[in-house]
Parts: sequence; structure tokens; C-alpha cells
Amino acid sequence: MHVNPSVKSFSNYFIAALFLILLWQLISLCMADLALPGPIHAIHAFITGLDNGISRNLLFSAFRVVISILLSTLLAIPLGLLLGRETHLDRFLGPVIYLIYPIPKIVFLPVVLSLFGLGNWAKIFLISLLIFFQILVTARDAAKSVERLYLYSVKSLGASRKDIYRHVILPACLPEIFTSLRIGLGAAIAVLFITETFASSEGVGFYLMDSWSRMAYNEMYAGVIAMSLLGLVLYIILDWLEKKICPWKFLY
Amino acid sequence: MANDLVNIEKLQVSYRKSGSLVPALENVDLYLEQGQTCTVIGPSGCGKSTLLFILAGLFTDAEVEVRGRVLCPEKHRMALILQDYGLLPWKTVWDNAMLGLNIRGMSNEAKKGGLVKILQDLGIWEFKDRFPAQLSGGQRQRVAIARALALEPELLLMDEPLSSLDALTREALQELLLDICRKTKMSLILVTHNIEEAVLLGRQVLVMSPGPGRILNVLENSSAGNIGYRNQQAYFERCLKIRKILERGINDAC
Ligand SMILES: Nc1ncnc2c1ncn2[C@@H]1O[C@H](COP(=O)(O)OP(=O)(O)OP(=O)(O)O)[C@@H](O)[C@H]1O
Ligand SMILES: [Mg+2]
Repeated sequence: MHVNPSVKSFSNYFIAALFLILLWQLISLCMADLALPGPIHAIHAFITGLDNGISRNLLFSAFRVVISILLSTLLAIPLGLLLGRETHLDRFLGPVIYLIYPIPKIVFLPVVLSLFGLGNWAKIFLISLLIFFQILVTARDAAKSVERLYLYSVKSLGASRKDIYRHVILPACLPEIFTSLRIGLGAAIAVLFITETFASSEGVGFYLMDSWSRMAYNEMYAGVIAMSLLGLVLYIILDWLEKKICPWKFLY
Repeated sequence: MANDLVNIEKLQVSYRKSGSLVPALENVDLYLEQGQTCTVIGPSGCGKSTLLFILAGLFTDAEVEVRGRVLCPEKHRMALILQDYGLLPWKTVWDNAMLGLNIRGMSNEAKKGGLVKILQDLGIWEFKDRFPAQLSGGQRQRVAIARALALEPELLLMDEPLSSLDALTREALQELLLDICRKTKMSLILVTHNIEEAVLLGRQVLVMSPGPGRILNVLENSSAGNIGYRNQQAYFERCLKIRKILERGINDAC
């Protein structure tokens, strides 16, 4: 029988989720500790919590991370491509990036909190900083290694510099940018979590730590589920976008 | 001299490689009138592709050093088909074939209709929504040819464009090219490894030798351009002669 591939991959996800939940149940039974409730309790707390704070906190977190991704990639992609192609620009800015890139961006948390206060912008700034450098370096390296053949090919058709960026450099680098974004997503959500646990009164990170401090363990795990769902949904959206934007990568 | 399309004198090209210059072409002269055809033949590495790249104005100063006189038409009047086709993997057959028209802002309905006809003539219309990775080598080559022909160039530069086609498709394409040259007064410079093809298509045959690339011989071949030529005695004699020149050139170089 012919099965629609998206149905098939959905059922694969479903089986994987079931497997993880069973594992969770097993461990919680073995440990018999209040701090590790079974999945049924956690899922129940998640569903009842939806009306009771989780939805609102989830929206806050999603807003912060989505805005950060949009802002940082929209800035980093053009700048990265330019750095990769325009050697004089790279000679000047390259060393600066080389120095900043390896710094774990979370160490700027106190600085950013002092500058931007405790609201959304401090969090958005910090996550954006992380993704920005990740995409910047990826885009630059990818643009540097674009095959010369493709450049000759479009130049012989009379391409201007703008045409070259549009028809060659950007599409050639997009797959690598997507890969990098997918890897960066995990780190971005980790940074989101940490910023939300600091003097914050909304966001899933806040909800989670608040439940913890009240020893409401079921709700704490509801928060873990919410954070995981946020990551999963963003991941799926990225996958879907890549298939839409880079169809030539998915021919077989 | 009103009709000269290409006029090159004493061309010297050297590649810049980590600070030093590696000569690729030495003392190359080439003169081509409008509507004429020229084929270039020679062993691998003798600078044939380099010569086409110079004509197409592709190199930057950072890549090569050029000396001598190079006169060739403005870029918008010529089209180049690269040795490895130069198709963009992220564009479909149709988008690849349209690329030249798009870049030059000539993508009107008439040109699109013309391109459809070209794709049909070349037998690749049914693949228009595929990506290059989904085509055979010969099909890709024909997409590259379609992209160049869509521009209705005055000068067509081709780098071994027919090498991965089967005998019959190759002959059909040779006829198509000759036909276009006759009808539109298009000029052609075609690089090939195939002696028969060089003699069939080039009113002028440049025989080159490597290390660095030089022109060994310029053969006038005024009967070229007819399919019937393939069966004439003069054709076989020309082929034999070029083979001898090539063999001698290789012996001299070694
Ligand atoms: N980008 C480059 N940098 C340095 N040297 C190069 C470069 N491209 C080509 N060369 C050298 O220049 C010489 C001529 O190369 P070219 O590609 O023009 O040869 P060709 O006649 O087209 O060979 P083939 O028949 O194999 O395609 C070769 O010796 C090659 O190694
Ligand atoms: Mg070559």
C-alpha cells in the first residue's frame, strides 16, 4: 500500500513520543520520588495548566524566540554573505568576528540586563546575539566556498553584482544556513530559559522555576513539556521552510 | 575590417598562482568575421577553455594577467556554454534556461515563446520542471545550449558542448547549430576534442599545442558548414591532416 510520506513521518514521531513517555513512566516508577512524577500526572498538569498560565507564558517565550530568530537572521545573512564575498570588508571585520564568535553569549546576561532592563528586549537581544554570530559565521564561510564555476556561468550571462548575490550566492548558501539555524535553535532556547528565570514574571522559564520554588512538581514538568513543545514546533517549522525554500536538496 | 567580430593579436595569458605567474596562452592570434565559424582543437590543458573565458571577459585582474590586443563584441551580444554546463543546481530546467533572459531584462512573452520552441527542438521540454541533478549529462548539456540560444547571441562560445551526447543526438545538434548560424548570421567559436566535429563545423580550424598554449596551425576549411561535407573526400583529408598536426605537436612538446 502506498502511504503518504508525511503521514508516515508523523506516525514515526508518534511512535517515538510514545516510546519516550513509556521510558519516563518506567523511570518514575523505579525511583518513586515526588520530584519525578509519572508522565500521566505531568500531561494532566500541562493540559489543566493551559488555561491557568501555561498558554500565556508559552506565548511570551515563543514571541521572544521567534522575534530573535527573525531579527538576527535577517541581519546576519546579508552581512555574512557580503563578508564572504567582499575580501576588503572581511579583512577589516573578520578579526573582530573571530574574537567575538567563541565567547559564550550568556556571559553578557548581567550587562544586557543592566542596559535593557528586565523586559522583553534584554532577552531578545541576548538570543539574537547568539543566533546572529552563528549565522554570520556560517553564511560567511559558505559564501567563501561558492564554486567559481557558478559565478562564471552567471557572469557570462551578463549578471551584475546584485544578480550574482541573488541567483548564486544566496541560494548556494541557504542549505548551510538552515543547518546552522537548526543547531542554533537548541542553544537559543537554552538561553531563553536562563534569561526567563532571572527576575522575570512571564515566560515558560519563569513558570518552570516558579513551580519548582513552590515544589509543585507536576506543574514543573508541565513547564518542561511546554518548553519541549516550543522547541519541537520551531524545529518542524524550520524543516518545513527548508523544504519549501530549498526543494533541490530534497529530490530523492 | 567592418565585419570583424573578434580580433585578437599576440594574446598572452598567465594565471596568478600564489604570487607567481603560470603562462597558459602565448602569442595567440584569432580573427573572426561576422557569421563565420571557428573550431578550436588541441590536447587537454592547452588553454582552450582559457581562450573562451578571455573572449567572454570573465576573468578579473586578480586571476590572470593579460597582454596583447583583445577586441571582441560587447558582452550582451555573446553567450558562453561552459565545459561543465554551468547550470545552477537550485534552479529548475526552465528557470535555468530563462536565467540569461531574466538577467538581461528580456523576459517578455515573445522570448518565452521562443524558449519553449528551443526546448522542444532540443527534446528537453518535458523536463522543464526538473532540477539539473535529475537529468542525464546529455540532457544538462542541452539545457545549457538552450539557455545560450535563448539570448539570440551574435557570437556563441561553446566549450565542448556536444561531448556527452550519443552519436545521433550529436549530429542533430550539429545540424541545428549550422542551421542557426546560416539563418541568423550567428558566429560560432567551438572548442572540441573531436577532430571530425572540428572539421565539420569550423570554417577555420585552430589547432593548439600545450605548455604553454600556442596555435600550431590555422586551417582554412571553407567547405565546412554543410552536413553533406561529412561524406566528401576533402572532409576525410582535412581530418587526417589535423590528426597529423596534432600528433606532431604532441611529439614536439614531449
Ligand atoms: N584557475 C586556474 N588557475 C591556475 N591555472 C589554471 C587555472 N585554470 C586553468 N589553469 C591551467 O591553465 C592551463 C590551460 O587550462 P584550460 O582549462 O584552458 O585547458 P583546456 O585546453 O580547456 O583543457 P581541457 O581540454 O582539459 O578542458 C592548464 O595547464 C591548467 O592547469
Ligand atoms: Mg577546457
